[in-house]
Amino acid sequence: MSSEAWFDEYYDAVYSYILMLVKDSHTAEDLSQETFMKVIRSEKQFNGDSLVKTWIFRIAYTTTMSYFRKKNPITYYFDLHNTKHERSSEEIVLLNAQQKQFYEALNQLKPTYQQVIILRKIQGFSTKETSTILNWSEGKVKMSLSRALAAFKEELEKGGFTNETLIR
Amino acid sequence: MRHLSDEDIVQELEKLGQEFIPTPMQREKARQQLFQPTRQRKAFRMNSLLPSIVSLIVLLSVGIGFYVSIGESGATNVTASWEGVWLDQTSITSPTRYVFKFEKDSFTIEDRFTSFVYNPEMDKEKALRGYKIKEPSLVPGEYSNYTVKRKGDLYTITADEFTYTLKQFGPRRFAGEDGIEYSTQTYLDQIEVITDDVTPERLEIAQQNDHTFLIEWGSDSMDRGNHDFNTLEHGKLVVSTDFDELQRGQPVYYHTPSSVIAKNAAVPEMYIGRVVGLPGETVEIKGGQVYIDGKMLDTFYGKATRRGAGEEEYFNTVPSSAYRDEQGIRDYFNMDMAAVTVEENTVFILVDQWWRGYDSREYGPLPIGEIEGIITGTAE
Repeated sequence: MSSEAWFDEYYDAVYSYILMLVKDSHTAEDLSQETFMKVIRSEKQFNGDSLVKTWIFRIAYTTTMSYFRKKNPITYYFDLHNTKHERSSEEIVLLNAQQKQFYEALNQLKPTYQQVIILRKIQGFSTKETSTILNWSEGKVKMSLSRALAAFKEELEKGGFTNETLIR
Repeated sequence: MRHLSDEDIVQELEKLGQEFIPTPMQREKARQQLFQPTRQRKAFRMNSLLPSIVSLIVLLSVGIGFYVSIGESGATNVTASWEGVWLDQTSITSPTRYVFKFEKDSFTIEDRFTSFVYNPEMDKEKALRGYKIKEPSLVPGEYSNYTVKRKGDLYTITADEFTYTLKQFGPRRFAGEDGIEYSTQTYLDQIEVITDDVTPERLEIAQQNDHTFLIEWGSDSMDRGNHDFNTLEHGKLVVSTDFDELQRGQPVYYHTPSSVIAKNAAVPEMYIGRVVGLPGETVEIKGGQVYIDGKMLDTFYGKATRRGAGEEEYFNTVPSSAYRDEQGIRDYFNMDMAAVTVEENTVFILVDQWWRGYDSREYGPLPIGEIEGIITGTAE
């Protein structure tokens, strides 16, 4: 399978994963593209130990993390563009009121919880796959997920969410 | 209150994830950037690439503009004007005496160098030492199907397997690419010329009809040495409102543009001038001579005059006591005006005595709608 086929298969997932984290469509486009550049470049190094999707997401994860690392220490002090990334959810994608609350609650969580919820529950990776992507142990993934979900639920209920108010 | 179930949350999260997938357009854009044959290796960051893209575009457009302008002023085929031209070698720095003879379909190169012929005993080696150009490249003979192309002051003669470039360094003088110099007997007619055989230099008596009216004119802006157009001298001018297409050389009667009156309130509201540039043409004045689309306008109204006289005639006929500022007058006879493009529905107007009147040099091309009528002549 060539990288172009991989692109067809996984671009949407990679993009949505990155967009949820960086909250800016242009940055997400750039980072997704960077991810696939790395995929194309190291296509031959893919050893088949894991699923292609897991491997690509590992790259997407490291790319996004290094973006945050690069951006934060310096831009925080010097670059006014920082505010650009602090967009409200309306500016990123069109969400209905409930989705908005969910997304904002998710953003209140600490970064590791966000990661584990997005990967496990939104992108639908297994515990093992998630552990490969984040380079965590499987135990840590399981533990973080249960804590993350609990915290998430708390966040939602803080915002007034109950079983009754949920629009299904 | 019932707590939210994990199941509900997970379902909702899955739905939320769906909202973040890219649009087909974003996806296509990414695909194109990633899988172009010449894809960029670095991440495509619009912000960081924008300056280079902009400068690239600027560079390209400058380059294209340069290329186009070179192309325009570049090699033009002037073969026809070289027919009948003789090119005689004038330099004595080579052991040759070339004569080029250009005819309709061919040209010949003759070598009339005779020293060796007259003196066969002469030591050739020694004799050659005296010449700067020892091995001229030209081979005498007849060459057919030739073309002469001109680019600036460079003339390239091309025939089958033969090219030779001449650089013009005087009106009749040329230097070959090997340094041999030549002169021509006659001036080469290099500039295309536009003439006007229709427009009379002096106004004639014109018929009057329903479409004509009479005007008075007292200015000497149209003077060509005979107080031309002056009503006191020649009678009133006949203006006809019945005209279709304006011809070059046609005197017209028009509303003075407000910009002129704003500058000089003494200018009459209606003015007189001659149509020199027609819609779509480019008018330029170089050294007191009008050029239309780069072609010399060889007419009485195509050059700077004082009372009808050009520079040479003026200084030959007018006693020097009559003028004080000779340089100023010479500057007038050699005035320049940058090229002006005459837009559709406008014409370029000049008066006949440029220093005595307002015209398109002042206010640019005149909208045809401002023209009240054409001046057909004088009344009896």
